[in-house]
Amino acid sequence: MLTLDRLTRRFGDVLALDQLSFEVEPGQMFGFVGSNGAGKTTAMRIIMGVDDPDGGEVRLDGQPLDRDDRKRFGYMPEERGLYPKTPADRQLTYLGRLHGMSRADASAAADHWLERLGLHDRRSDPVEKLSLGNQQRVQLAAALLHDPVLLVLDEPFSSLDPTGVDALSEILLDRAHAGVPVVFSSHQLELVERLCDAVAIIDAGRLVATGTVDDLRTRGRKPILRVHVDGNPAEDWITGLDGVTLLTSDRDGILLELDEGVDDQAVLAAALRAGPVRHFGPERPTLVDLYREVVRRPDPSTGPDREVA
Amino acid sequence: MGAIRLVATREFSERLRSKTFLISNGVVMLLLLISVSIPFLTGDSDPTQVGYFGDGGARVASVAMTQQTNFSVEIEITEVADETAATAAIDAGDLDAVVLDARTVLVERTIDTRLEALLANASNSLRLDDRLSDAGLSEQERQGLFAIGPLEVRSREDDGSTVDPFSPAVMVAFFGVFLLYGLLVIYGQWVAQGIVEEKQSRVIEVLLSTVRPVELLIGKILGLGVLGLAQILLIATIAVGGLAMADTLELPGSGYGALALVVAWYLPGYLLYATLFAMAGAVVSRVEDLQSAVMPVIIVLVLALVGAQIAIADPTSTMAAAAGMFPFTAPIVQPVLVASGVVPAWQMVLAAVFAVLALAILLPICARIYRGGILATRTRTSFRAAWGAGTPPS
Repeated sequence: MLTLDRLTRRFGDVLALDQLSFEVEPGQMFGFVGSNGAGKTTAMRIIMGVDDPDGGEVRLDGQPLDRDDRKRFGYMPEERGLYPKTPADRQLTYLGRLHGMSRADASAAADHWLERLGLHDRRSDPVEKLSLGNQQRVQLAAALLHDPVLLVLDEPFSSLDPTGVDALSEILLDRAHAGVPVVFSSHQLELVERLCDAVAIIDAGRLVATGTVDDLRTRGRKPILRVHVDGNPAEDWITGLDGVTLLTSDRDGILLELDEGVDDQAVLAAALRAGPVRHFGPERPTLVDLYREVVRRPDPSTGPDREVA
Repeated sequence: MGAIRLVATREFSERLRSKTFLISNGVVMLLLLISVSIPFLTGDSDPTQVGYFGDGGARVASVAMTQQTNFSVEIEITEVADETAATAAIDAGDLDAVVLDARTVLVERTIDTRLEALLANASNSLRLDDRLSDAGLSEQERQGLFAIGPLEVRSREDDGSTVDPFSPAVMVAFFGVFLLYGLLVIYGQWVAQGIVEEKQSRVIEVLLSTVRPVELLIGKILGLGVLGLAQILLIATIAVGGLAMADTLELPGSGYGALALVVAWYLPGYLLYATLFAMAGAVVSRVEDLQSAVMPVIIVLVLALVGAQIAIADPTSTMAAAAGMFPFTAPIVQPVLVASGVVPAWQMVLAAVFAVLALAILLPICARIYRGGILATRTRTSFRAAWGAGTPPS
C-alpha cells in the first residue's frame, strides 16, 4: 500500500501542497484528479523522489521510501522526454540499467517491450525519427521495462487517440491485475471513472475527496431517482408523497431526492398512477458532478489565477 | 556509485561517437602535426652550404669551419671546380655562398649577416696570420694569438632570474597551456550542453526518478573528464613521439617536465571549469541560450591565457604570481611559471592547494544550483531561484 502522509511543499510564497494525504491499495487503479496547478505533478514528483517535500513523507507498505525503493517504481512524467539522438533500444537499456537491472536483463526487457508495443522494426532508430505516437510508446516502455512495483503516470492519456487510449488502458489494467498499484492523473474524468477503482481529488494543494468511486458517489448522499412520466411533466403527482423533494426538471424527466426511509416503490406506484412511466431508476452523480461539487470555482474577485503548482 | 559509473560511461561513449568529437579531435591533431613539423624550438636547422675553390678559398673555408659556433652559424663546406661551377651551384640553390678567394664571396642576392661576419673574420685572421708569419713568429705563437674565446658578459640586473622566453621548456609550456585552454573550453561546453540537452529534451525527469541529481552531475563531469584526460594524454604522446621522429629538434628534459605539468594541471583545471560550466547549463532551458550563459566563464579562461602571456614576459612580476595562485587562472598560468624555472616549488604546491580548496567550496554550490535548476525546463531560471526553493512544475 502506498501512503502519502501530510505532504507539504512550498515554492517561495506558493503553497503547492498543503498536508496532502491519501492511500493507494495494491492492485488499485487510482485516479488523481484536480485542476491545472492543483498540485498533482508536484505530488507525483515527490512520490518518485524527483522533488522533496518540505513536510510529510511517502511510505510503501508502512516503510519510508529510499532511493533503492524508488528504482523499482515506474514513472511517466507529464513532460515527456527521451534522448532524441539515441536509438530506442540503447536508450531503454540505459534507463533499465539506471533502474538497477543488469545489462543483459535491461536489453532483453527493452526488446520485449519494443516488440509488444509494435516497435520492433524501429528499435535502432533515433527516437527523434519516430512519430509522436511511437515516441510515446517508447516512453511507456521506459516506465514499464523494469517490471515496476508501483506505476506513477502523469497525464498518460493526454494527446492519445481513442485507439491509443484503449491500448494504454489495457496495459495499465493488466499491471493493476498483477497487483501493482497504478496511480495516474488525468483531466478526462469519464475515463478516470471508467478505469479507476479509487480516486483522489485535490484543489489548491489540499485533498478535497478520496475513496473508491462507488463510495464517493453514494456516501453521505440521500438517494436520488430519475423519473420520466409520459405527458405529465407538471410533477403534480409528487405533492402527496412525504420525504420526497424535487431537485430539477428537464426534458429527460425529473430528479427526486428521497429522505431516509422513504420507500422508492411507493414513489414508483405514485408515478404509475400519474401516467406511463418511461424511465425510473437511481441517479448517481458522475465523477464530473462530484468534481464540480468539491472543487471551488475560481473567484474572480480574488485576483489573477494562480499560475503555478 | 553504480549510478555515477553508468552516467559517466554513457557520457563518455555518446561523446566518443559524436561527430563533433571526431572533428574537433581531427583539427587538434592537425594543428599538432603542423606545429611539430615547423621547427620552432631551435630555429632554422639546415646548415648553410658554403663552397670554395682555390687555395685562398680553401683556407678561409677551413678557418670559418672551426669558428662557426662562435658566430652562431652552422655551415658545411664543399669544394667546387671553378667560378663557373660556383655560379651554377648558387643559381641551382645547392650552395648558399662560395668563397672565391681570400677576399671574395659569391652569393645569390644578399648574405646572412652572421655568415658574413664569420667569413670576414676568417679572411682577416688569415691576412693577419700571413703578416705575423712574415714577421717571424712561429706557428705555435700565432695559434696562441688567434685562439679566440667567447666574451664574458656581465649583466647589471642578473640575479639568476633572467629567463629566456624562447627556452624550449617555456615554449612547450606555452603551447601546452594553449592546448589546455582549448580542451577546457571544449569539454566545459560539453558539460553545459549535456545538461541543457537533458533539460530541453525533458529526459531529465525520467533520469531523476532513478538517479540523485548529484550523482547525475558527478557522472557527467567524470565521464567527460576521463575522455578529456584520454585526449590530452593522446596529444602529449603524439607530440613527444612526433618530436622524436621529426629528428630536427631536440627537447631537453625540462621540456618534457613542462608537458607533464600541463597534463597534471588539466585535472584541477577541468574540474573547476566543469563546475562553472555546469552551473551555467543548469539555469538555461534551451541550447540556443547557452552561449550567453557560458560567456562569463569563457572570459575568465581567456584572462587566464593573458595571464600565461604575462608569465612568459615577466615571470617574477606580482601579476604573474597572482595569476599563478588564483584557482581559475592557475591551471593555465602555473605550468608556464614553473617552466620558466624562476618560481620556487612552494608556489606551485600552494597554487595546487588553493585549487583543491576552491573545488571543495565550489562543488557543493554547483550541486545545489544544478539540483535547483534542472527541473526548470521551460524558461531560463535565475541562480537565486535555483539556489532557493526550486522550481514548481509548469
